[in-house]
Amino acid sequence: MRKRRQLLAVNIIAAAVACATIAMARVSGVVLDRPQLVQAFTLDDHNGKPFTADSLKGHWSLILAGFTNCPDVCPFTLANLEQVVAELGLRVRPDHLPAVIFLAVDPDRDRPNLKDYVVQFHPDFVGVTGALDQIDRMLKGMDAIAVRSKPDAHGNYQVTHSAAVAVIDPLGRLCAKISPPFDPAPTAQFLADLFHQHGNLRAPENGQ
Amino acid sequence: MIGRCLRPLQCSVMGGMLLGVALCAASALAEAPLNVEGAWIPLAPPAVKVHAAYMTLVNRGTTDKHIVGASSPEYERIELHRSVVKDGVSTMQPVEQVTVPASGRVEFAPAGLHLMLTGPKRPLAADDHVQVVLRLSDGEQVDVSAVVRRRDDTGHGAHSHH
Repeated sequence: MRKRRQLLAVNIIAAAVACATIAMARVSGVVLDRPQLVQAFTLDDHNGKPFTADSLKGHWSLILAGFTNCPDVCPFTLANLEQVVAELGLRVRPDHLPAVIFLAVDPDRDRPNLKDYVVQFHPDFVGVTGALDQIDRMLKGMDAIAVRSKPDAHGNYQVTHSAAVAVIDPLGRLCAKISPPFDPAPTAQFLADLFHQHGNLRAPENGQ
Repeated sequence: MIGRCLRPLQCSVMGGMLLGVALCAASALAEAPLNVEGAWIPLAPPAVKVHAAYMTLVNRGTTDKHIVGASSPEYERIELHRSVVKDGVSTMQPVEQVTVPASGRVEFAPAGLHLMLTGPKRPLAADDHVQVVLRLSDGEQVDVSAVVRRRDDTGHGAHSHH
């Protein structure tokens, strides 16, 4: 089994957290008091274009780690995020709507499927994958992990991965993580409130 | 929603659920059938080789029913699985047996209990029907016809009526 990274969450929680006094009971997660800049990584999006930490700047992002052969949880979450964004459309201006990014952590199997897989949920969703070390760097920025199990007799293997969705602000900083289930209406309300609290984070030089 | 009493009874219940149940109960006596409601398989892109199936199992009988396996001519393999989130990490666990208690029901629903279908033998399209056989511990088999549909076809999840 691959080296399992210590969950950075422990540190973040110890250091920061105004632990989700999230208005709605049906949303759970953490909001970081001090958002953390996602460190550099170099991956490709599902069209083969470079996708880096800078690609996260200038807009809000919701990032989910998963893999295309995940039959249950990943598609369930992506379908819910599609509904979350639809709900958000009723609450925030169009230019505040987040990008939804699926970080595919099983690149050998994910690459050929990635575009088809992601756009079935929404044409604007973005699939991202690449070299394992770069995937791990992006995971670290999301405060997430992924572990690939040993293949079974059929050559099949499972990938376990963080269940939370990372919320990245327009300065490219991890500012919250939300946990399943992602009930569309309360999750959208939580995100709308979060976006509002963070005001207009438009220009990178505003960052603290 | 369509309720279905499955082989060997083959009585299909449309709306008149009570009548159907009464008929089934009358003809089956002790061996009350396990009903399967709303079985579906989310449509997946052709390159994805692992699918899921969801359904509601309703046991109207007086004895517990134990599902110990499943198969389909359309797939290489089917396993009973449960998705769990532990310490913030999402993982799938094989399930040896799913018990549908007497006069009870069990939901196979997204982000929980599901059939994991591996190796589709042909590309599936929306509205296709996939035959799945559930194997029970007493040797009984339950035929299921699962419809392939987009996840957003009737909202998400596989909640059925009360």
